[in-house]
Amino acid sequence: MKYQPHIRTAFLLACFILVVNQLSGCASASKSVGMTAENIDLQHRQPYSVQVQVSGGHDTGALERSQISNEAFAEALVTSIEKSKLFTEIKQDENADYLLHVVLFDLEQPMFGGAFEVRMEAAWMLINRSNGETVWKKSIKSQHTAGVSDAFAGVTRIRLATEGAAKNNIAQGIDLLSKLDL
Amino acid sequence: MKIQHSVLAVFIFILSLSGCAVNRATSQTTPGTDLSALNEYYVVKLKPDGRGINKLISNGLNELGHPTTTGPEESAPENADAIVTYKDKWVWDLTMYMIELTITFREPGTGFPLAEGNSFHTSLTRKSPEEMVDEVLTNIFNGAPKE
Repeated sequence: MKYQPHIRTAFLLACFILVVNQLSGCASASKSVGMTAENIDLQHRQPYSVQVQVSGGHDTGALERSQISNEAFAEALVTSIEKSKLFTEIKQDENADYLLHVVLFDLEQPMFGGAFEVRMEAAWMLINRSNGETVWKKSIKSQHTAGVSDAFAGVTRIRLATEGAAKNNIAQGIDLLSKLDL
Repeated sequence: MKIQHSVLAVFIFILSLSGCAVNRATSQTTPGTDLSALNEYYVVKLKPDGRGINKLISNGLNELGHPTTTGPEESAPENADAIVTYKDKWVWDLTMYMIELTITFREPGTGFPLAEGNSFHTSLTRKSPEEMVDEVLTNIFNGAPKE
């Protein structure tokens, strides 16, 4: 069986586009909008101001799997806190009542597969600015799975899974913070 | 031509399943953690680990001057200053090799992470398990910029 020349050309062109799409997606960093947690049921709101700091994140290299940068996670965390109204105010200086510091630790990503399950762990610490005392700290583990139905391209799928894991982590953190009696 | 198209289709399918990879060596410490104050360590053996990576980490810490023992989680001694956990990932490329190793120092009792190191090396720059352990521990204690 022989293919018509125009069919063969179209097939090869489609293959080329798919390959380029796969390779160009390698530098797909996790985005803050995908990590922002919403509709969190708070135990109660904290009548204090808070400063947010994030460390341990990484920028995504040109050929790297989707990473979480400090800036993107911090933006998602701040937006999530604002939307939930957990704290009365978020200050970006040391005049805040509390400092919320989140250290991004383990980010476990698969290298191959259909459904990508990403697991992450973050160390959450709440520090009283008036005396420097750490009033709460917790290791929060989260995960999220993105399947082929979420995205065909592997690089997009792993970004979605990574963002989902971060979003779940933020949701857990805000939930636990709302249960504190400060 | 039909075979060529089939091969190309399989190649594209494989690409759709895979993520990207790069060599990387990182470490970080939780603010307020003083690693110099930690002396004795206990390495918790990962249950599926049949390669004895826990012993390599224990040996590595001992060589750095930290008295270290290893075993199951429930046997952790009370006098340990830090509990060490790890995750090793292996892949096949002509032979099996360790592509990624993450070592985490944790607070005894709470499991709160104190410090962590990670090394990721793909096939062409692969390292032996001993070299991976040495690199990660060195990065944790000395700090490592992202490669």
